Amino acid sequence: MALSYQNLRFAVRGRTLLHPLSGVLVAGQVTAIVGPNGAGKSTLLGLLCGSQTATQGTVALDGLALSAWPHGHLARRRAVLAQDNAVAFNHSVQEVVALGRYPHRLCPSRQENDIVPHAMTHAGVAGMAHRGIHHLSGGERARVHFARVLAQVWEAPEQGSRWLFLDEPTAALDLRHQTDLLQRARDWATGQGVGVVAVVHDLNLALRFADRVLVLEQGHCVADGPPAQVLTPELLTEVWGVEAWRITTPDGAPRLQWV
Amino acid sequence: MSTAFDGGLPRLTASRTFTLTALLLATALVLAATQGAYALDADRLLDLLWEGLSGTLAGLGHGVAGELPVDAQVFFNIRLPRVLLGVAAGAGLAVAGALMQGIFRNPLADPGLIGVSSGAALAAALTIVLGAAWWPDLPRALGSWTLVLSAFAGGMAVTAVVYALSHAEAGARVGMMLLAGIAINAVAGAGLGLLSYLATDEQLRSLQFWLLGSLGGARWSAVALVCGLVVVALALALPLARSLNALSLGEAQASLLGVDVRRLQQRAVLTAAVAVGAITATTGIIGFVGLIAPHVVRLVAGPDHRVLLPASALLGAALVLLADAAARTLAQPAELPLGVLTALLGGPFFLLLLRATGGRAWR
Repeated sequence: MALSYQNLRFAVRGRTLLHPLSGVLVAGQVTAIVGPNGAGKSTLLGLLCGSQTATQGTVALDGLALSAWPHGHLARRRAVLAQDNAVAFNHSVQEVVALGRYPHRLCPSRQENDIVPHAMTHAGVAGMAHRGIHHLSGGERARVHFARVLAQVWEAPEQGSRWLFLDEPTAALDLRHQTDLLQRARDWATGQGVGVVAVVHDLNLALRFADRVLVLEQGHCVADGPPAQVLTPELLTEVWGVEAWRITTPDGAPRLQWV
Repeated sequence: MSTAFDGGLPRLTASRTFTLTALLLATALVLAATQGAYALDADRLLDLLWEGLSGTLAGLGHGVAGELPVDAQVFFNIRLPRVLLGVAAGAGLAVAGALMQGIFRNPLADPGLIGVSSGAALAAALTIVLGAAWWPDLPRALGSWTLVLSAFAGGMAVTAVVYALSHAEAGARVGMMLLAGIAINAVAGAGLGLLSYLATDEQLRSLQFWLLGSLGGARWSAVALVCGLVVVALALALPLARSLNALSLGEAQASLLGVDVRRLQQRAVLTAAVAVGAITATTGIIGFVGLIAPHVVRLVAGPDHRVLLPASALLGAALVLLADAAARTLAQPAELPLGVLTALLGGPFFLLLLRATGGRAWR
C-alpha cells in the first residue's frame, strides 16, 4: 500500500531538473511537496503520478513499476489534478466531473449514478452542475476539476491503494476554499486511506494539513519529515531566503510568519 | 424546449436533438427525391420504393429501361442514387469534421486539415491533366473508376504523409499535425495551380467541375462503395465518443484518465480520411459541411461527442441534400455546382447563427 521511488532522476537536454531521489510514500498520508519556484516540485509530482517518465530510476505503485501498470488500471486508482486544466469545448460542469468516471466505463460501480453528484457536493460545485465550464471563474473551475479527480478515485479498488495527486490545488482559490479543499483531501487520507501528494506553495497550509513535507531546492531534496519538525525558521531562511519566525495561534497550532 | 434550469446552459436534450435532426433529414429526403428537372410526386415515393423493394418492377437494374414507367426510371436510375450519395457524403463529411475538431480540440478544424481533400484533388488533377500522357494504360485497366480510385489513393497518401511527418519525432502531436497539414496543403495547392495552368480548355473544364463538387456523377456502383465506406467510418467513429470527450481536457489529462491518445488519433484520422477520401473521390470537393454541421449541433446540444457525432451525421446529410436540391432547381435546367451552393448557403447561415448566439459557438 505504498508508492516507492528509487534513484529518481529527471533531465531535459542534459540539464538535470531533479537529482537522484529515493523514498516511500504511504497511502493514508498527506505528503506536501514544497520549495521555491523552479525547484522541481511539479516535475517530482509528474514522475510520481506517471505523467512524466524518469530519465533514470523507477516509481512503483504497490510493488509494481508504474510503466508496467496497464493504462486503464492505473487510471482507476490514481487521479491527478494538474495546474493547467483548459477544457477545449464548453462542457457543462456535470459533464466535466463525469469525465472522471471514464476509466470505470467498462466496469461501472454499483453506485455509479450517485458518484458524480456526490463528488460535486464534496467539492462545493453541485449548484453549478448545468453551467458551462467556460462561464466559470478560475476558482470555480479549479473546484470542478477537483470534483472530477474525486469522482475518478471515488471508490477503493478491490486491492491495493488509491492516490490523489494535486499540483498547486489552491492556487486559484479564495481562503475558505483553500482550507476546504485541503481539509477534504486530509479527510480522504485519514478516513479512507487515500494517499495524497500535493505541491503546495503556502507553507502554513502544509504545516496544517500535511503529515509529511518534502522540501525541494534546485532539484535536490533538502528536507523530508513531519512539517512541524521540518519547516523551521532556519530552513525558510536557507531555502527561500526570507527571515522567518514561528508563532503559536490561539488554538495552539504552530504558524510561520516571514518578511 | 431546452434544459435550462438553475441558470444552466440553454441546451436541447439528446433525444430532442436526435428527433429534430432526424425530422430535418426526413424533410430533406422527400424534397431531394421529388424536386429536380423531372419533378416527382411525393405520394408516389413510397409506392415506388415499395415496388422497387418487392421486385415487381421486372428488369430493374438490368438496364431494360423501356419496360419501366418514366417516373420509376427517373427515381431509380437518377434520383435515388443521387439522394443516397448525398446522405452518405453529408453524414461522412460532418462526422469527419466532428472527429477532426475533437482531435485538434478546436472548433475550427476541418477534415481538409489532414490533407485528404487536397490530396484527392491533386491526384484527380494529375489524372485529368497528365494521366493520358504519362500512364495511358491506366484508364484501360480501371475504366470509369480511374478518376475515383486515383483521387481516393491521393487523399489517403497525402494524409499518410501528414500523419507520418507529425509523428516522426517522439512527443510531437496534433499541433505538429496541424502545421504539417497546412504545409502539405500549400504544396498540393501549388501543384493544383500548376496543373490547371498546364491544362487544355477541355481538361480545365472537367477539373473545375470536379473541384466545385457535384452529386451528378452518382452511379449505383460508386454510390454503393461510398455508402459502404461511410457506414464503416460511422461504425468506427461512434465508439470513440467518450474518449474524444476526455480529450477535451487535453492530451496529458486524457492520458491520465486512461485514454490511449495516440491510438485515438490514429483511429480518428484514418476514419476521417477513409470517409472524406471516398466522398471527395466521387463527388469532388464539397466544402463547409464538415465545419458547420458539428458546429450547429454543438451550439444547440452541447459538445458531448456521444450526441455530437450521430447528430452531426444526420444534420450533415440533411444539409447536403437541401443544398443539392437547391443546386438542381435554382437555375433550371442548368445545374449549379454543389460546392458553390454549400458555401453560399452555409456561410451566411453560419454568420447569422454566430450573431444570434452572441458568438457562443466559440466558447
